[in-house]
Amino acid sequence: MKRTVPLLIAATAGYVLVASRFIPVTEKWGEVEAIWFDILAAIAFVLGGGSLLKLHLRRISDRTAGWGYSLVTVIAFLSTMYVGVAKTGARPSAEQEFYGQSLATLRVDDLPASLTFRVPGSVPTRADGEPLPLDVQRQLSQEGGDLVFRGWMSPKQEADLSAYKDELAWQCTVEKLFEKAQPPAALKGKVTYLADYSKLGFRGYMTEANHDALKQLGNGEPYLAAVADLWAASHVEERVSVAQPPATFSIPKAEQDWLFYDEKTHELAIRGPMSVALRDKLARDDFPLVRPTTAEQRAAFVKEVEAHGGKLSEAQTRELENALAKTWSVEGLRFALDEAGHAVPPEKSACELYQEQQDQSRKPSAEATPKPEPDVKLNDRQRAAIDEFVRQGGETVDVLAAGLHAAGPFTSRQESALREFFGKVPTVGEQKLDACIDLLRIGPLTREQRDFLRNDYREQSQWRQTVGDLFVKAHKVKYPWSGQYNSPGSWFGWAYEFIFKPCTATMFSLLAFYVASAAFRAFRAKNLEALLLLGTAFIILLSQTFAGYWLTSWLPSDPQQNAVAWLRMENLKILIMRVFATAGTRAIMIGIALGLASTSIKIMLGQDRSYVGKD
Amino acid sequence: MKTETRIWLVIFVLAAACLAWDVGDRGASRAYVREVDGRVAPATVADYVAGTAQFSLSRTIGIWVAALLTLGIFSFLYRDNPFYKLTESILVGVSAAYWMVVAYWDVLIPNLFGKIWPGWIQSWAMPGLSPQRDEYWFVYLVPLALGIMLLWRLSPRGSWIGLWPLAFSIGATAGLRLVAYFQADFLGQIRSGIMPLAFFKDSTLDVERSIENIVLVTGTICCLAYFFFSFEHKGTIGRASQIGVWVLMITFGAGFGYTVMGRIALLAIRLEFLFDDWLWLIDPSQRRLGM
Amino acid sequence: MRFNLDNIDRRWIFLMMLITVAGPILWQLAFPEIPTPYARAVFDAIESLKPGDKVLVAFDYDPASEAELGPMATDFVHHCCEKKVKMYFISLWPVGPVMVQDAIRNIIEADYPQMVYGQDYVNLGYKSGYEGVIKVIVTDLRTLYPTDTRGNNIDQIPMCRDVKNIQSMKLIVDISAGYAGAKEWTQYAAVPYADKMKLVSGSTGVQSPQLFPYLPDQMVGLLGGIKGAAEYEKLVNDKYSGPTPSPKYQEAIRRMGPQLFAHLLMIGLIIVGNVLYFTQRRRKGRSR
Repeated sequence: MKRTVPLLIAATAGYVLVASRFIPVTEKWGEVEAIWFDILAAIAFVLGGGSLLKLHLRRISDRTAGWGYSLVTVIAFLSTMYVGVAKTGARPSAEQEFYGQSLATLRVDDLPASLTFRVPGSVPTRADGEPLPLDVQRQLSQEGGDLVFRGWMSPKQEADLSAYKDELAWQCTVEKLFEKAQPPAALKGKVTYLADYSKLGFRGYMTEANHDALKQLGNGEPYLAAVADLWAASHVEERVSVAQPPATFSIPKAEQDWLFYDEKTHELAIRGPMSVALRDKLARDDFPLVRPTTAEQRAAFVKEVEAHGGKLSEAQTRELENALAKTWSVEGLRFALDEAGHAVPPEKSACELYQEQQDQSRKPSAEATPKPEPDVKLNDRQRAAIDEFVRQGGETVDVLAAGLHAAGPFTSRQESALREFFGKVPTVGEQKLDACIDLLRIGPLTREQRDFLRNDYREQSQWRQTVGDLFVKAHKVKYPWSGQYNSPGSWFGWAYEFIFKPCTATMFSLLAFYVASAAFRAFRAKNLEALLLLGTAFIILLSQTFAGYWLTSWLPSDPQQNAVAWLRMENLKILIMRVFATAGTRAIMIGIALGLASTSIKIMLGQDRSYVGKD
Repeated sequence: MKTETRIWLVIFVLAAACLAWDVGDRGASRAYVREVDGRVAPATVADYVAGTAQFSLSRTIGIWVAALLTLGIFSFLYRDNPFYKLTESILVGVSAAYWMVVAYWDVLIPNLFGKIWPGWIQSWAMPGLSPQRDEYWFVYLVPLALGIMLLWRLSPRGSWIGLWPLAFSIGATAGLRLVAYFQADFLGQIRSGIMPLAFFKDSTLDVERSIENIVLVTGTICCLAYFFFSFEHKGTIGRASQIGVWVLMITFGAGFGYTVMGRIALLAIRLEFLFDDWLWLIDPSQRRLGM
Repeated sequence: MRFNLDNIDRRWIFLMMLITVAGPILWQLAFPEIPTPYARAVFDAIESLKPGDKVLVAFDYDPASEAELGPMATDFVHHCCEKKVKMYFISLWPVGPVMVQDAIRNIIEADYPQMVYGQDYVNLGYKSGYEGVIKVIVTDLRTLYPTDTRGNNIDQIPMCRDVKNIQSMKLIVDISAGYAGAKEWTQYAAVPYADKMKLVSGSTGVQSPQLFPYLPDQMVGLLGGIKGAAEYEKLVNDKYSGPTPSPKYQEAIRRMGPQLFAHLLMIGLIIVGNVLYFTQRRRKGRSR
């Protein structure tokens, strides 16, 4: 029994995997078995660690020779394992922290009745029996003839549900359900419900109006407790000290309830969490963006750099002027905005298409659309506003956007395109720093020149650091264990980078010395075979380097034109690898494959029992 | 004091003096980072030039630890010594723990516990995981049971229980490899090895390619003849296997040439670490521009 | 200590090797590279991709092989970024994801900040099981990868939503140090699904000769060791990096510097060893 069962297990495991390659119905079995194999391989690592610990602890307890080294091994093992399993020093995963949102626990069952939405309909059946998408299973149910959804539906959930069945009737039902299962207008864009996390979420600072609107949605104890938690979390005030905010820094009046600069204490303060978008906006918006420059402006800038320390070399001057010239163009911006102004006919909704299908007289057509809006192109006043933006140098993108709105029709798509365009444009500080790096690569710069080129970036970086500090302070960590165990900054990452990686690499690098020693002591051209081996080794060694190329560079280069070209080192190498080495390796591979097949079949037939051990 | 000891003492004192000057005067061996939003990353050339790179004590200590461990391993080339043994012990302990931790977080948590108890794992370890169980979640109970049986090998009694998962692994490996090797390494190689001995290009005989193909096919067959140990290597088989040996020698010679290149590259990168990150004697990637 | 060339202490040879390799590094010697057809085949395979094509990039190596494969990985990622393909990073080696993270930080985030994680590239991470992993993901990716390395649910990652398995990849780029690596990708992915997926590989010098038989039917191209990396690097830099590439895109060419002198030393040692051997043999023959 002790020996028979393992033999049967081995044989069955082998047969299933072989069968899964040939019999389609067993393909899934093979997949499942491969997953089990993968998991067992991971557990084998745990076993390895356990065995190591067992062996060295025994050495320590028996006080065998060298037990001190075993003690070192055990300490190293346990401390690395601890910092790895505990993720000591690892920051939580940025993607799972819901930055800018406060979360409060609220299970699906505790949702108030006003967050239950119904539409007539039923879940369709699929021929393949695939269940509903995972992200809606907790919230979607069927009651009577209605589809019931608890909580608010996200666009992703709508997309997944629509894709569940490619049928207009179903997609129309999902569309109706999505339209219904949305927060009230007063809370739109502020609240979310994350069923998979059992959390109610609120973005940013909660005003009294938001609070009242939320309280009106339900009166159950768990729900009100969650709302109270959100209220408290969104009112927590955090501050960071700021030596000097940027010259153009200002906070819009509408935001001053929850974001303000205290001039008395020189502190930047926020109430509630800070979103990533707000952080990036605060960090960057108050710094001037690069503008297109003329040749005169570029030459003047070069003179200004030289005035700070000395003449630049010709190559440096050229590089600097090229760097300054590489920027966006007014034509490019105008083109992008005009493109964004093209009217895009609205897509028909699933219900509209379904309605057309029901109407027998016409075939549904997604291409037939209502008459689109006319294209919106920039007018002269708007073009002038852009030119003014380029001339001014200090205006922010917000000011430009406002100017474009005031000067003529300007759609939301155009505004998005404008922000996207300038999102990729560096600030003046960033451009000057890049120029500094490029100049240093070519030649030296004086300290004054370097300071002139990098001071703007330093100010920007300092401010970014301050905003980042406030961002971190204002954030309440939700999943401290979600980060990567080996991220930079974690103790495990430190052990990997400064112990594991260098030691492993160094151990292998010792082989370089041994191969040299072996070459001197053992490689003897005693017979033809050895001579062939050494000769080939010489050719390969030479052809791997420039020396080989240089030695035979006087020969013709193309073997197709002249057969003598085969004597060039690089061509010889190709010939050896493509013909002789391939022949030899091919034969070895065929031999190994046959041997492996024989061993595998012996295992599967139970003839090879070496792994079972003796009776 | 022995002569050898005296020489080594002089070398160490000189090296220590040079190191002290390098570190004290030039600021070598220091590590700098960029910290943004509480997250740390190694400083880039932009950080060095801008002067916004921040000194990192932990990474500086790390560089010193890595350098000393590297030298400890290199010291084995002179002779086995306690410094090397200490380094080796640390490496063994850290490596074993490293594999364990990787297996735990990358496989066991998401692919085993995350399938059986997804809600629990999602609540603290992997918030991105769906808390809903898959339809066939119970199939993961099998590797859980097999895994526990495998770990039983550590127990002084009943270690035979570990035979079952071991047998499963061996059987699965046999099954996985049998078809794969046959398809790619046996049939695939035979298919690739059957090539035209007279190669025509645009209706003209391509002599060079034809000779190449002949040599390739003949070489392969001769090498296979050499591996036929069931027959005595005499007569035609003997001559063929002799040619096979020659082809194999060329193959091994080529393999040696490539191996040397690989080994030298390994040594080069370690020396680059010592000269660049530790001693700051070189800056090939121009990271410390403007420092 | 008597200095006898016949019985030279091997530590002198170690010292010679150390000086031969250290010298070019300290003086930062580098030499021109001439690409071979094998490197060109790899370059052409990636060059023929269109923007938006899906590419699976497998980092199957560890720090021990970083010397040869690190520059290769850098150049592969650089080339894929220039081609604007969608990169799916994966690894069959436990340490692979850390290498991927370094590549993302040093190349994509540094030089291609317009690329968005989840839309243009994703790090799926490591799973144990060697070829067992490939066997699963050729038919079902999600079972083994419910999340990426950052913990994002795979269904939430835009570029993964329509990926059921890796058969939708136009190309597999494997950077391989041994087992599991190029051989396994060939056996379990490229050969069984030859009509769907193509494979190019970069491997260590030690492993490369074993992979040549797979060319060109089962594997489109192969970069053999640091030399192959340097040749490929030259091709990518010539096309995309201009006359002064960033130093990080010249790692392979830089690391070839010590190779020249070390190889000449090896040849010299073999010749000297043989001369000494034959001289000794003749001396012994005469004395009889």
